[in-house]
Amino acid sequence: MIGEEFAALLAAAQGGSEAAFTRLWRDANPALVRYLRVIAPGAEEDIAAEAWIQVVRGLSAFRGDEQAWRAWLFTSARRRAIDLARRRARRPEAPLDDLTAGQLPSARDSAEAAIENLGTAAAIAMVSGLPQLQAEVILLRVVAGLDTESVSRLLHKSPGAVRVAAHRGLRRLAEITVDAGVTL
Amino acid sequence: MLSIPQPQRQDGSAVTDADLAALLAGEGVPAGLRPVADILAALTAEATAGELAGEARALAEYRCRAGAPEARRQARLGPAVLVPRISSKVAAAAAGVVVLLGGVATAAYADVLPAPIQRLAHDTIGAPYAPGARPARPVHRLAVPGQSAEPGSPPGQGHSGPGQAPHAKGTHARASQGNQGSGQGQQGTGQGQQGTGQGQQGTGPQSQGSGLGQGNPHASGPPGNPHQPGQHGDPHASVGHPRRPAPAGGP
Repeated sequence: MIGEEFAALLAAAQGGSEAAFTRLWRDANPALVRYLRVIAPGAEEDIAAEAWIQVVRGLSAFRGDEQAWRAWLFTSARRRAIDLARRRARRPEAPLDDLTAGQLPSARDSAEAAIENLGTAAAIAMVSGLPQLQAEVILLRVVAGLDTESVSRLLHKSPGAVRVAAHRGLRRLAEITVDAGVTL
Repeated sequence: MLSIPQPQRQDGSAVTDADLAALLAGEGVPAGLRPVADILAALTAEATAGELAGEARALAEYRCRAGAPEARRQARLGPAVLVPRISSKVAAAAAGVVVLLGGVATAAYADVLPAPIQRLAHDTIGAPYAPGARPARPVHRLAVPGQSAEPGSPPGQGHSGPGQAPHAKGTHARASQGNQGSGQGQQGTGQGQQGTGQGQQGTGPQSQGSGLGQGNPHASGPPGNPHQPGQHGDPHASVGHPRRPAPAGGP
């Protein structure tokens, strides 16, 4: 998150400053890619690029603070991820029936990966093992930096449902780490 | 009354925004949630090289659509990812028009165009025009006094002066009364070459076609157009004026 400098950076980017836009991009894109790595694995870079194209097109008309900025960016990305998932559902590239149980990802595998090296990738893998809603809420609250209200609007859930999902997701992560014996 | 103990809820109280902020900061975290705090911290660690790989693509898009005018121009000229296609089409069309006009002008000065077009070129850009060198073409319009009998000849165009006297003959016989294209320096001077001669006909050299401020300010042809309406002594010979017989005599 940029913080107090956001308003000035946004104005500069809207005025044509490449340096300002680059700063905005570098601040938000890593979080965006990490979020997409969970909800649209294998297509995170393409979807992120498409989301930024839409943002650039509407940049001059955008009005809002940093929360609104990130909500806009992540909303654009999430819509494209949903569209991709629908296309894949109509034309599955790899039927799940062909995969054995051992090939399916599990929370246990994610926890074991975390034991070896608790880095960003491992953390993302652990979150990926959570139920869809819990994983999204944790990523949007923690990685995207959105507050509960913004997440509730983005996911079309009530703020209470968002808080409950976050709590359950964190508890689940705690159980995984305890079961796997992850300590730092 | 028996009180039936209710099963304890598995998830307890909901985690608040303050709890999440505390988890991220690693401060005041309950012992059982320390590993979770580490996971959350890992989720927000510094960006990796792979997560910054799309910067050039995003910047190219920004330059094309939202960048500074100079950056957008350079983006279009350079090997940008997105180049407005319409600019190349417009440029090609403009180049084609320029080439066509240049070719027409060259042909006009070579006096090789068809007669009507050559005459138009003569009227507009002063290209040579010698109707006598061409077979006579029938004129289907009556030579009304005071009116140019040449169809399509725009008024107020800069014809040359007395040297073009042959224009006054033939179909311009009736229109040659009064000021025979004497070109007394007041005709087609570039100022109101329409030569409306509003009510001033026959009163002096400036009466014919001086059209100061009355005509086409953009007419830039040579002075002394004997064929301009109004220069033949007829104040009503300009476009839109009712036709009247030209008065006898001239300046």
